Amino acid sequence: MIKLSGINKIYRTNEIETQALENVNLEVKTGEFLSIMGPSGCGKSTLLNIIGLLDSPSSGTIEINGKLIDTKMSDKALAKFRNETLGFVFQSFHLIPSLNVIDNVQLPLMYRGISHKESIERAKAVLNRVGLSHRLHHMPSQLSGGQCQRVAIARAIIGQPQIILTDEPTGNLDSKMGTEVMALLHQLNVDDHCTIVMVTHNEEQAKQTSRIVRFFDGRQVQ
Amino acid sequence: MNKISLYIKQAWTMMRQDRLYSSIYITGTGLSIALTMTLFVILYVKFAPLYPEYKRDRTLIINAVSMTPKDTTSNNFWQSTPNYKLVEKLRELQNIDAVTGIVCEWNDEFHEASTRLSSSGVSPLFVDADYWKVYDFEFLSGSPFTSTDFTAKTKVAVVSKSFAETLFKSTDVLENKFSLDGSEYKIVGVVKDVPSSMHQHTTADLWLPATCTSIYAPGENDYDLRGGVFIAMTAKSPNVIDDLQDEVDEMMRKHNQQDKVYNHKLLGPDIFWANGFRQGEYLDEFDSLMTYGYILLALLIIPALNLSGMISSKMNRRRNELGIRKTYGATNRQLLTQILWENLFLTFVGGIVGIILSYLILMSTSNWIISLLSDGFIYSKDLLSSNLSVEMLFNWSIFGGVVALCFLLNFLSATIPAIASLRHSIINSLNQKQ
Ligand SMILES: Nc1ncnc2c1ncn2[C@@H]1O[C@H](COP(=O)(O)OP(=O)(O)OP(=O)(O)O)[C@@H](O)[C@H]1O
Ligand SMILES: [Mg+2]
Repeated sequence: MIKLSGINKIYRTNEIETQALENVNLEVKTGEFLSIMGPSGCGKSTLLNIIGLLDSPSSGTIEINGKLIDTKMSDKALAKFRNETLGFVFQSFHLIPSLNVIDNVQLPLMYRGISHKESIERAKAVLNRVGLSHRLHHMPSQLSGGQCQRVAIARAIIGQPQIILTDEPTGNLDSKMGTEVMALLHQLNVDDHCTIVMVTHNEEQAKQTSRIVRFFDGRQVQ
Repeated sequence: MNKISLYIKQAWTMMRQDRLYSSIYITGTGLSIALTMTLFVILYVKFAPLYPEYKRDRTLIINAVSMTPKDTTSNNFWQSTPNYKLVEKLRELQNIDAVTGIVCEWNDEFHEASTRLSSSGVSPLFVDADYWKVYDFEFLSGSPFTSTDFTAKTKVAVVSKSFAETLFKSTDVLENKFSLDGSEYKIVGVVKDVPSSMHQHTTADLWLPATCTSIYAPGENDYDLRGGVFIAMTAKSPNVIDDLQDEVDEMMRKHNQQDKVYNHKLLGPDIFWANGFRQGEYLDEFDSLMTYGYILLALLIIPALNLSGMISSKMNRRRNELGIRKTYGATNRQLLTQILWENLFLTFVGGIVGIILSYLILMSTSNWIISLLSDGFIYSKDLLSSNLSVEMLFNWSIFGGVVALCFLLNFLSATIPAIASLRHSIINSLNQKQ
């Protein structure tokens, strides 16, 4: 499903050069639930962003769904690919504060050119699934952290992507909320056959997933 | 359309969420649009076809004629308004539809009209019978006076509705008499009021045959074209204006051949709108138009720069949102469209504020604002009628102008900050790093 070969990422600022990733080779199979672990600053987020086509590697190739990704693809083509294939869930939710819950959730469909009416129907369905059908017209500021993350998950899955990428999805949540969110992710993995790549600091959560890869200083160590 | 309504909905939410920003933004846009619209209305009143000057696009004006001796050893030079002989010569031309001479009163003399019921200071115009062909007065009752009245010096008058109401407390005043400057006149027609902001050739409370006034003086000798009238004429159509001007030149060439002693030169005929810019011998209408252009530009560019600054700080605060949208599949182009639409929404709110403000400005300053940008001869009179009319303020040109202005202002102020904000990488935007 995902195949990274020889990925290097070097951040260059005026004086400093940081090698965030060094020769990373990683393959994720369809239907896998992969955890990425490692100490702070070892390049986990960088890797996830590269898989998500939010950032481009300094060298190396990315293959997703059998398709070799050229990171020099046009803005439009990359946007379409992200929109149709990938779903993102971030640690800090990243909801748009000036949109209500249902408009936040239907965002990916809007960029797919799906009619407003259908988008709304589908948004209601996924919100129902994450247990938020009673909060459709709330603003993000009126929701708890766990609710925000569930909205973010609804947004990630509304377009039925094959891959979900998530960076410390429970990092800002208490353990009860965290458990709920993890349950949702497992459900997506099992019922919807989503391939999931998750960055986490939580050993417990990682153990429940199908595979763990560990990083240290930009290198995959296990 | 779906997307646009979503953008507007979000813009509405943001407007309420960020009240300080919105109110400053709307006030800024509103003021800028108010000033620009005020200028626009002034120009509209000056140049657009308005009652009773609906033929402004084919009206030509001659305000002066100069005379110099053919004997070049002499330095004599006379310049004056023309006289009725010139009006009669012009009447013969092919391309002319109608021509009128309007007797000018240089000193803004005081005239008092009175009836048994009331008396009031009034502003008369002394005109001829063809005046009513050059201009499109709307007669509420009666009809214009005729050329027979004109030559017979009959004391008849056409009066405005306000004149009738002020002096007779009624508009049903045909055949009624009033006295003006010691003579008695009979009313033969009542016309709709002319707002005092119209051209001085049409603004009056009453219109009398020019032969009734002592100022009326046809020329001294056969060739002298100097006298005391302003000349306004209409070409048969806007397309023959140039031909008409050529005809006038040819007519003057012949006139100068016949006169053995003097050379005559007309200042004009000027096309109506250009005449507004004439200053004596000097007429460079395009130069004057450019001046208005610069004022307009300043009224737009300065606020656009300020608004640009505001938008760019707002976009900085919204970097995260742009990153999120890109993450979920928005292209730069879609985001640019979104930002422009959202901003247009705020600009339109500003536009509404602006146009209301400009009406307030215009109405509270109506007795002088229209004459503000006038050159040359134009002075404003105190009439019994109002200064501005409804058709001057509420018309599609004005509303279309506001909409166009909003688009322009929005484009000028939002495009650059929007493009700049989209240049950041997704990751940068998501993490809001500089
Ligand atoms: N935009 C950037 N410019 C320069 N260096 C960067 C940039 N982003 C990340 N880095 C560096 O790259 C390295 C990897 O960062 P990354 O965010 O991937 O770490 P991480 O494993 O996700 O850490 P954490 O667990 O704390 O989230 C770090 O040393 C970081 O300083
Ligand atoms: Mg990280």
